[in-house]
Amino acid sequence: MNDPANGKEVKSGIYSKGEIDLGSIIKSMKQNSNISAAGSIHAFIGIVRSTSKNGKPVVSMKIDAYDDRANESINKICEQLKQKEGIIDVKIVHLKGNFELTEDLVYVVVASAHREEGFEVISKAVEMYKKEIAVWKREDFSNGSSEWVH
Amino acid sequence: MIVEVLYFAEFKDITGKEREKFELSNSHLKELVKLLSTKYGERIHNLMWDDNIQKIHNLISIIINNQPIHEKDPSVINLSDGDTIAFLMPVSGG
Repeated sequence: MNDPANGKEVKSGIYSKGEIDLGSIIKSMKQNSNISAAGSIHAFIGIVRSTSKNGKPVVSMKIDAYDDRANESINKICEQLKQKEGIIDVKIVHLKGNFELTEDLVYVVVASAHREEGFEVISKAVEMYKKEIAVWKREDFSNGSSEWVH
Repeated sequence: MIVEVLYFAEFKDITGKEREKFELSNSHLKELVKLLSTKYGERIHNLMWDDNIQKIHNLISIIINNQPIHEKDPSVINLSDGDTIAFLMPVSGG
């Protein structure tokens, strides 16, 4: 079992809100035996925005996940991207639960030998997780209605 | 036989459950679809069923025992005792 609080290895995957933070992911990545080959660590944090894609005012968000399938897809994405030249490590952590505005939803962290490949791969990782992992978000609006986003 | 349905996203909101067991008298997924529609009404029926083609909506992924099924006609999808089934909407990560 992972134990982010004690600085042990943080595995990519689905976690409940409050179970993990960006600092523990980076700390874990720095324990990778190959990390000395990295010249940069890149981080993407997805957070709750106050408007939907259609401009409706969002007040909160719920994230649901099919953990088994999502974890499988996340690990596949990370393993695939780690094969790229100059990429030392890739971790994707998606949180689930109920979230307020500006709270963190997802962390993507990439360690790379040079910044160029790090920027490229973190962008690719974000596009891939959004399309491929079994996670759903529900936007709750200020008028009391809500809508699952697809 | 007994099968278990896992609910996610809209399905979880409508049913108010994470998972539920159903007893089926035959081995076709169609019976389960009917039971779900009968128990939870129009909202779940409209979510999963396409009346025009009389099949599960194309956008719904059917997962049985953690494996995707590439068939949308539930009358030709067989189930076994103990199977776990999920109907998934298109994903929308945060």
